[in-house]
Amino acid sequence: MINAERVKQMVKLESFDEKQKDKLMPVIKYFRVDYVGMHILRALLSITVATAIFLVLAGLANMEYLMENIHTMDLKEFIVAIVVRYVIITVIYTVIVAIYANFKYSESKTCVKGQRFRLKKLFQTYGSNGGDK
Amino acid sequence: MTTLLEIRERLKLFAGKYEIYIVAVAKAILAFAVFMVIRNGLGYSNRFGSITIVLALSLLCALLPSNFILLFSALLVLVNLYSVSKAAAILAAAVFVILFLLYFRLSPTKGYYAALTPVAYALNVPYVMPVAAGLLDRTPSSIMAMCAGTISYYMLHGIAANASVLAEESEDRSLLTDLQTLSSQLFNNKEMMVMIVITALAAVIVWVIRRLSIDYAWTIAIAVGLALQFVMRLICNFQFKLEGGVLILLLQTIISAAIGLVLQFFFYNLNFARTERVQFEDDEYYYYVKAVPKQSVSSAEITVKRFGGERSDDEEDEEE
Repeated sequence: MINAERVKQMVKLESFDEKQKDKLMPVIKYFRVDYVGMHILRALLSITVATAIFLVLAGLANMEYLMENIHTMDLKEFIVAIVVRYVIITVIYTVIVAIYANFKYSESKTCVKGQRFRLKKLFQTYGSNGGDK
Repeated sequence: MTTLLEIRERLKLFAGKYEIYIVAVAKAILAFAVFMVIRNGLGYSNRFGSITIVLALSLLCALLPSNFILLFSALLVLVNLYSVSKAAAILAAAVFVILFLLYFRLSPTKGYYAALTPVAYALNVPYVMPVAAGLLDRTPSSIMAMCAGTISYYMLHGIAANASVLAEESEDRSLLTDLQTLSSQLFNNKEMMVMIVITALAAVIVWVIRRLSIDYAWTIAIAVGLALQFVMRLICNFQFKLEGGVLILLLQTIISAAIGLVLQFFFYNLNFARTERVQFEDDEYYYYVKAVPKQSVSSAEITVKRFGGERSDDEEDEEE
């Protein structure tokens, strides 16, 4: 006879496998620290490249001003101001990315826990010899 | 109301039954809308501006992940801009690289928002985007995608406004001076900055309010989100002398509110009059539960009774 509870659990398990597996597995194969750390490293790289391109564009936009004032400017102060802004933006962006990665990891872990619980319930519907209980 | 609920249930059933096809068609329509915005705004390339190319790319997008809409849009923009001015194409490429770098870290799966934002601007309802994102997203990570869409729209708008000057050959201008003019225009675009701040702030506030455990959370979130955008934009208009009258702003807000309420009807519609509050405990916790039933109706089964006249094939089959 068909076990309704078993069929229900199997459908849920199969639906998870189809929809979520590819999304969640690449996340939970890491430890939390490694996953968040990896995201932070990538964020640092991204923001550094983005800032470099931004600085070139900003330099072009203000080229006239720079050409006129480059001899009278305090270059040390100018470079320090740019570095300070870069550090502030990088810290803000990295913190946001770290929060996002942490949240995503927790969410994935909860999903997989639910899946394990369903699997356990499915096993419980079978007897010790593999047949019905 | 009952009729509307019945229609909603039928639509839900239909969407559930043909989900794969509906998603594909929706992607194709979105891609077509985005490509048409690009074509109408920057249709400078004869080869890539044809409707056949736009249609072919839209159909291709139906089969590919949503981020391909962004990729194809970026390529279309670059090809079109290259036909007008190399400086415009270089600037657009640099801005796209920055946006892609920052966007893919935070909202890699929110391509829809990045693609829809310029379309919403082109349709004059930009205020609906933060409201929709705040209501429908599990996290406010789509802010980055909407900001990317906003920057792209204003950059292309600025380039299109200068297209005739950029297309002219002149000895006074070089690639560098063109780049200088365009980037200066982009960095000094106060309206763009204002819209980025308003979008981000409104999306966060709508998201926070709709997650609160209060009655009519979604309605309050829509109202507060739109009121905030309206007031902030109005203040900024006066402060920075931006274009846009109060009446137009009001009209845009009302249309956005209507779209927000439609979203609420389809994704949230609860019956607060039947709210139940229960308390119970187990070994580890004490539970305070508030349960609000969804408003739903079972779609009425239509039975056709015939009195005399010709009988249908089904009735004849049944008798056999």
